[in-house]
Amino acid sequence: MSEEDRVYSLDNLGFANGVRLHWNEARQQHWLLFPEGALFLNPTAVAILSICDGYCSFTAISQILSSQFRDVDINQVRNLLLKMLKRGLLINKTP
Amino acid sequence: MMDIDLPLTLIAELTYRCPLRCPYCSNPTNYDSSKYRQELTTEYWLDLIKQAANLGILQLGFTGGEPMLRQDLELMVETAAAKGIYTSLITAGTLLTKERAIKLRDCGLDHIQISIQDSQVDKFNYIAGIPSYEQKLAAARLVKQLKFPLTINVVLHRHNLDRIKEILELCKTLKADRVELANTQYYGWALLNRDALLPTLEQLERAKQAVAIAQQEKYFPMGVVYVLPDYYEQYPKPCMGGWGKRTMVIAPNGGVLPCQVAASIPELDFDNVRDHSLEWIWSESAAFNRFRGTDWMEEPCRSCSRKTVDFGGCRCQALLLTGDATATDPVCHLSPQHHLITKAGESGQSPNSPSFRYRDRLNTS
Repeated sequence: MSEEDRVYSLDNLGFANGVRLHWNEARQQHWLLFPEGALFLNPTAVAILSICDGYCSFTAISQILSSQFRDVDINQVRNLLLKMLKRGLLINKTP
Repeated sequence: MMDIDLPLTLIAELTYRCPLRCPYCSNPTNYDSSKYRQELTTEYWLDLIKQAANLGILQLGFTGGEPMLRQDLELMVETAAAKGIYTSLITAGTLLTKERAIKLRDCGLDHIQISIQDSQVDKFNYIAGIPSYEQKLAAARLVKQLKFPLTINVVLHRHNLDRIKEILELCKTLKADRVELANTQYYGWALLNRDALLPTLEQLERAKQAVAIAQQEKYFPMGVVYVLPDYYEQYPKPCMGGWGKRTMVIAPNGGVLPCQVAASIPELDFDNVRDHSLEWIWSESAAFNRFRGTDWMEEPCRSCSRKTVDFGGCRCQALLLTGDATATDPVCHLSPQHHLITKAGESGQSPNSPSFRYRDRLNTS
């Protein structure tokens, strides 16, 4: 199957092996760490990724975020999760 | 006063001893001189890891030589993990026993990278300079069995490029999470062996197609990185993402360098962790400030719009090929000495391949 035809599910997302959140004391910043890489995370991204425990549906993630933040942009959430999924940093865990 | 970013990555070269003898080894060609035999003690390394955490280091790669030769590796991993630093073990894999792998996992090691030389056993062992195929493949399987993410690294050159498809299939069979295909960069050992290693343009073209298929078919969940040999590029690579911008390397003897090859520049004196703190070396030392930013540049870099994109390319390559470390990297087509690259590229087209000059065997006990 080629990349364009691939259908991604945004349910039951969790971190792949070797991917983790990190609070860096010296920088006072949140980062996502993974093999040979690091991504700086803003507060919204931290909130989104913190919910990715492998058990939440996309609908549940959206609801949790809506209860935490005003004006949650669902498209922005979808795009972040999709980007992480395509990079293999998030994976679909079996519920 | 220029703004100095905090370093992101620390590369810890624990030793230059190694059971392998690869003809493109990134260690200095004088790796066995007395200068490098005085390896830092455990106490130094543990303190350095704490200093690195205070400097905001996010990624720590343990490499060598063969880092598994250090029996205090587990202690270092444990110290880094306690600080939240992401740790990678970059190994040939031949010394990775199940017992040590489990211990490393329990100490908090995050990721393991294993190098493979080829897909065919005889070719594999010819390049490594010792029989190591079976051991390396067993190590890769062990890494997956213990649920570490596995990166497989393959250095590409004339002798294995024709089997890149098979090499990618092998990586897929081993369930690599990510693959790094790095065309040989010609410094140190690889420069000594350049005429035996330089690929042909046809080989590179076919490799590009094989890599595209692996990317398209998503062989590896975390992707495949393909580093082109810069001899065939129009612009130089932004070496290390800029001199003294992201990375610091600690050599086995405690010298601190902006990249693993920087010791090849004789005008530079590298300060040692035995004399200064990592923070001082990063922000104050002459070597780290020598090529930091853009003020040091000469023409054609100085007035070039890409000067903050590729930072003038690689200082070591500029020195090796032009004799001047401040020159534009001759890979750049704007360099007045670009003909040096064109000429070397032509020797890659020669059907005759000289035999390898290997590293000597070192005492690795």
